[in-house]
Amino acid sequence: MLRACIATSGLALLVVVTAVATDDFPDYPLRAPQECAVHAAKDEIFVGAQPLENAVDQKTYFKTNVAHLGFVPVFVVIHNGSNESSFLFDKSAVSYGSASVLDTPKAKSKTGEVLGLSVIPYAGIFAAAKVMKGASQIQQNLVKKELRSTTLSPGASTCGFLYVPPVQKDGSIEGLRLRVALTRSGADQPTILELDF
Amino acid sequence: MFRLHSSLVALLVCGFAVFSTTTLADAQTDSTQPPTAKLQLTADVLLTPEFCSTKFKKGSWKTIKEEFALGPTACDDIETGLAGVFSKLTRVQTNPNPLDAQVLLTPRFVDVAATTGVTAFSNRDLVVVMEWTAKDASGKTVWIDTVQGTATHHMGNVFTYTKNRNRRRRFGKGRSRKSGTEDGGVARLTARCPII
Repeated sequence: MLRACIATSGLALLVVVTAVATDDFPDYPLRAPQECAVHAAKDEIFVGAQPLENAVDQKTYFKTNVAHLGFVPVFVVIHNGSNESSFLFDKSAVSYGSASVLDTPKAKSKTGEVLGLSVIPYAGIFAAAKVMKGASQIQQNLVKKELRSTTLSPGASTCGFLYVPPVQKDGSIEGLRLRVALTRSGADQPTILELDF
Repeated sequence: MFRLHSSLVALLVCGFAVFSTTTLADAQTDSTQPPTAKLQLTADVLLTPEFCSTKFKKGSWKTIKEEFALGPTACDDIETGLAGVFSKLTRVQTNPNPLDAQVLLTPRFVDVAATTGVTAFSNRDLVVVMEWTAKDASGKTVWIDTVQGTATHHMGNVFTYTKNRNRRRRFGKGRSRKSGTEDGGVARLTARCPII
């Protein structure tokens, strides 16, 4: 009787552990750039950004409070509205900074060369994760959902998350300016769009 | 159905080949259908010694410390994988100046992430993200894209752990199976975001 009880308990525990380990991460609902909290358009390029500052949303889509790891996930969607031209989106050209600092001409030379987002310290996120259970799944989900470099054919869109550090002490990104650069195929100068949160 | 005979990196290359063929063909013919013939382009593929020795170290003392030697695997497979895409393909180790071919292809590993399982029979996922850049003879970037490959295999026990890790890296030997996408575990990341 005792053996059967232990075996049953062990099996139940295994099922629960397996269920936790294989938990799925839901996709963030797609939306048009114009439907995002912050959006901009220029030269037939439309960019929208929707920050996920709410802890409930972060738990839903990342299974962790990303803000506690020192980042705010921002869903970014880019749409090429051109009927003829392709645009190159190079993520290493994405930059951000405090809008108030960027608007100051004197300080612009110093902070205008804002940090690139291509190097995201996932190891840091992983190391900072207090809960070990499923941490590698969380880390992998962050990698999978990140916005990546791509060529946008006419009428095409791309989307994904950028993980930016909070600007305010309360953990929000209010006052942050995100700068996205896309280059029309064959052109020399990029089209720069700025999103102010 | 789940039997695969090519490596993860080969799939990344093939994924690149399909997408590059489609996109470059779009640029040339304004057609959305991938051409069945080779692209009438000569290409150099830049495989630097640094790229070919790329290793990712993952994990911490709290978990499992692992090293994924993706560079050697990639350099074995990329040249072969791309040979059928362009009319002429040349492997170069340094940035050619001037460029002899019409386009210069440069691969770059962006990131690697591997999950850990709870038991020996738990599945582990390995995700490899690779970025491709194509430049024309003038050095101007004409195309850029990112592909993602996934591999799944059992965690393994103390005797099979290393073998299984290498299977995930090679993706397809033994009983490995693909996961996630139907195109051989390789997804063009922009495909997640359909035209809005």
